[in-house]
Amino acid sequence: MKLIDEYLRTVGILLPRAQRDDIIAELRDTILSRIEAREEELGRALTDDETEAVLREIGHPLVVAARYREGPQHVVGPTLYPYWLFAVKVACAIQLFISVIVLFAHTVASGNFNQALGQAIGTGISGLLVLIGLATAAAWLFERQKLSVSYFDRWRVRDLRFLDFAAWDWDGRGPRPAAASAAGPACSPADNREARRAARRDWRRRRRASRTASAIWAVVWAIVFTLWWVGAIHFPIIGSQDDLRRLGVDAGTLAGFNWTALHQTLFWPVVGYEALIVLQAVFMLISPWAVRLRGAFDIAIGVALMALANWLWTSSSLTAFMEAHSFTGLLVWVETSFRYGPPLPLAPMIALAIAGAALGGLFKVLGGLWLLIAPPVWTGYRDAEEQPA
Amino acid sequence: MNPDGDLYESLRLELRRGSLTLGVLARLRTERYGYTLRQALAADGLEMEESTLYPLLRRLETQGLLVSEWREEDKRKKRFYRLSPAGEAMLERLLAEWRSISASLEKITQP
Repeated sequence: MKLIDEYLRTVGILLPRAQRDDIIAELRDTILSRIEAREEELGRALTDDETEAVLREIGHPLVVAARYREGPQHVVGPTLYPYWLFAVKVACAIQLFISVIVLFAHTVASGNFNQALGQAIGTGISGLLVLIGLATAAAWLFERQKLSVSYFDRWRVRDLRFLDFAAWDWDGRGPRPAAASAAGPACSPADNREARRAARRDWRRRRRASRTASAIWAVVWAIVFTLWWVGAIHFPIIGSQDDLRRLGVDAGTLAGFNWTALHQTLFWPVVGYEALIVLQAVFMLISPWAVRLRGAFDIAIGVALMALANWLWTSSSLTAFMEAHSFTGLLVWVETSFRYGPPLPLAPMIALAIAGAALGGLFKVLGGLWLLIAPPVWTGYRDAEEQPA
Repeated sequence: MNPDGDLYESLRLELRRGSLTLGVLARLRTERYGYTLRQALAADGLEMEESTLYPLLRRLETQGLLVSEWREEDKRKKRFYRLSPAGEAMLERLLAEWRSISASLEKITQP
């Protein structure tokens, strides 16, 4: 009896409180009925070992309790699994790409290949674990929240090109691009090159056309960037100013700059900005036809980017190092600084990046306005023919 | 364990999964408690683990296809289940579907 009580107590702990007593009472009756039947068969009371065998037949408390739980009994279900697996493959590719850059840059900067290899492998493994963990957590959430993503039911053939990633010639035996296959097996190397070029042009054209593909890549890059920004994954490329100099960059006036303080100040604004990008991409996946919503998001993202650039240029700790006060001034400063080749000074490089961000923000706002006011047919949202009723 | 045996076992389980619900609903036209229901199903050739049967009963009750009540029998309180009116209607529909699948398969597998 002690064994049964102990078993039922363990199952009870694992059950939802509201149903616990009810389920345990029923389970107790089942176990006792089973034991009685067995005792009748043997003509004697069961030993502890025999009772335990009956309990083992009923099942491990974790398994028994799990069967009573509502909701899915898996982390990634069969519907989501192919998408999850693809995301994990993309994560592997991104991490491999980052590790190769880390290996290369670290070897150049420190001159120590073994140390660089160690760094690259270390960052590779930890980064990969974070990305896989994130994909799994996202899938877990999807399974439980029953989020409906219209892409799952309404994907279109032209959106499928982002999957071409899967056919990158890992082993040299992958499917050949259609244009290359059409040229036939006996064509000359020149024909083959031309066919490959045509296939690449085709891929670029279609990639531009696919909103889904761009949404997915936006999410992937925003997540990788945010993980780096919050310190969940590391790209240890530059450890010291000597490393920077070997990479052809001179810290110059920014030699003693407090990057940590700037990172702290910008921490939440940048996280918010990336969240905005992910949110837009998620909306694009959930309702790809909401052109005006996408335009509004583009405007918000563009304004945020311009505000960030403006703040960096005029009010941040970097302001003192920005030696230009007009666009022409910037061009002159950059030209005179870069005239003598590497090592290039860091301050004008950062100035260029900030100006680029501001300009990017401006184009984003203009693009957003265009989506808001232009007829859908002009922006590629042919709602007359394609939009579902 | 040989891979063919594993494969057979997993396909067999898949094949049986849907029919178990049908068996349970049909057997509960007469009121029963869990233990005797399991015995009745086993006698009919539908062996079922307790850990599958009880959560299934609970689910069917939540879905309104079964009703249950606690009653004392043999000096112990037992939970008796039986088909609800909604369950009877559902059983009839499922049985019609089952017969149609069976007839189709019969036709397909005839030499």
